[in-house]
Amino acid sequence: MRALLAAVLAMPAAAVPRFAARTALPCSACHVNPSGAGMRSRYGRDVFARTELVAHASPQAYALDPRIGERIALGADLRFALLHQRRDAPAGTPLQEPSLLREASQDTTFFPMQVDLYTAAELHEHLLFYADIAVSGSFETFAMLRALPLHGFVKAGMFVPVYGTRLADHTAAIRERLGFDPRNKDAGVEMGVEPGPLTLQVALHNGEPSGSAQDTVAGKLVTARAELRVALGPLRLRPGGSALYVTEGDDADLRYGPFLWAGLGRITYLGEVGLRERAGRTLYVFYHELALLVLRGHEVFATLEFLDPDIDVADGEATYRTGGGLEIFPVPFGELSVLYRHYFAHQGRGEDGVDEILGLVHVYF
Amino acid sequence: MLWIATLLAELAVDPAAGALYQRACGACHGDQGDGRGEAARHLDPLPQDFARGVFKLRSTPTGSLPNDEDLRRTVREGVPGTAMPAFRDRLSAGQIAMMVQVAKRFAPRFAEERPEASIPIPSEPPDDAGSRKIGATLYRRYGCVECHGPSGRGDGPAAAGLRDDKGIPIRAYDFTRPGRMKGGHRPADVYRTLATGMDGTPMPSYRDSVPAEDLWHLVHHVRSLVRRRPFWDWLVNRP
Repeated sequence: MRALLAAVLAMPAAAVPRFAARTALPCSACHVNPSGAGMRSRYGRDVFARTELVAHASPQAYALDPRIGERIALGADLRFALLHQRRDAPAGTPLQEPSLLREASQDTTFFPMQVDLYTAAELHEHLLFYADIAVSGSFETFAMLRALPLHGFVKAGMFVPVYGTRLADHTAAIRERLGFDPRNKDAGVEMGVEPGPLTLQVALHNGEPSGSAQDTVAGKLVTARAELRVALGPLRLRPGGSALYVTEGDDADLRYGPFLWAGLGRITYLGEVGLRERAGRTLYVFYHELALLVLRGHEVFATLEFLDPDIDVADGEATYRTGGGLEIFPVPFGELSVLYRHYFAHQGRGEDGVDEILGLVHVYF
Repeated sequence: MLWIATLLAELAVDPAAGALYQRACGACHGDQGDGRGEAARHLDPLPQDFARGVFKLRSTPTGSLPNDEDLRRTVREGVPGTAMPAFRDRLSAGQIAMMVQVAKRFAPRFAEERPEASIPIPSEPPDDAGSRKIGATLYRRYGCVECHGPSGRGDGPAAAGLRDDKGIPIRAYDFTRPGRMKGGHRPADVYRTLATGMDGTPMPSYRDSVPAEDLWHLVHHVRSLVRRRPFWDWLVNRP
């Protein structure tokens, strides 16, 4: 059980789209990977993580210099967790797959949720090599050429296909059930441009994510993502949409949906809806998150998720998951958080009566 | 980037100061101080280009370089409403002084000329209804209304066409929003901004055209335009 738990929860590189919603900056401002997640860029590491994010400033904030010479930078993420889960009802359709508690009624465990080591080498002004090695065995690596017009880039290698909201929580149905959790890396190429407030990305992959036990597609996979950043006074809006298309034999697999990120000072909202049409079934998921920055470095948030494995089955199983928690960034490069989540079935049919409490220590640079 | 080390060596910058500059400032201002750091394209307004030697926030007359304390104050307090954070709790006083010296090395002007003396700020008269009423009259007489608008929202008839000296469109300041004046919002800060102007922008210096007493009336008027909505202000201003 513990092994299953650790395997399911091993969470490679993750991002916090909430920060992007709040600052109105694109993912590429704070992350080396323009799609977000993983190693922080120079701005993300040296400015955002040392100033805006931190509750208690200190002249020691700039003591760390994680570079080797001028062209190679190092980075890391360690998320160490304590998880308690309890089930008080028979298992229904799990929000995540495989479900953590199909056989046991209660479990409490410590586990390393994420251990990732990053390196980025600036081989040339416009050419970057990037590698993310996770202790779990997963890896992400690519070469990126940044010399296209409109702040464009091309990257080639092994990485998560670009899609939607790249949440830190890989168990979110909009990530895992749509096939875009951080373990679903695949070999391919991606191209993107950022003309002003617009970001457009399109990628072509093999369609066989090596890290996923769920994926069965065999044809080439195409994904695309677009977002627009607009400001209406103090309100920052980021509407966008994503799509994936792949064929497998005679079957087509189509995943798509809109998202909206919004920031109003201390408040941020993340919302995404996803649909997956495959083999005559349509899976439907959504994710909503509302967060409030109470004090600098202290944030409370609430989430609501939904999974319906097949919207065409009127009385089929469907599951909600609600959550809430607190995140604190007490010092530069350190985070403490606690999260409570509860699963309940839609109209009595689905995953029900599961409670989770997750405590997390996160260090990063 | 061997050239950075070479550049810093040529500029005779303490290597520790140079390395700290790269960590604390380089991402936005660039390792050459040209305002072209890798994050610059994401930022509005753009980061300061030290090499140009034109500085908005000074205590010295328009056209002059800022003095060291002006630069230290900007690093210490940050620039509200921009991406420039306040470093007062993040760098020691000695480190801030080092950053100022590094930034000055990027601007050839600092090697060629000295900053003029700071403009004196006379004692503030009482900030009362009478002073504010006079200030409102002066606000129109001296043309503030053209850019900042009759209610101070930054929506005057000339506001739409404002550009800085690099041709980049800029916004006239909205006095109704609290706590976002780039040069500081305390009375003496506002006086200093009115007196010195903001070089590189359409905001002129009023030091020679407006008597000091009238400048204080203007300070009192524009500070009275702030619309205080405690909950809303708390909500929309990130800590």
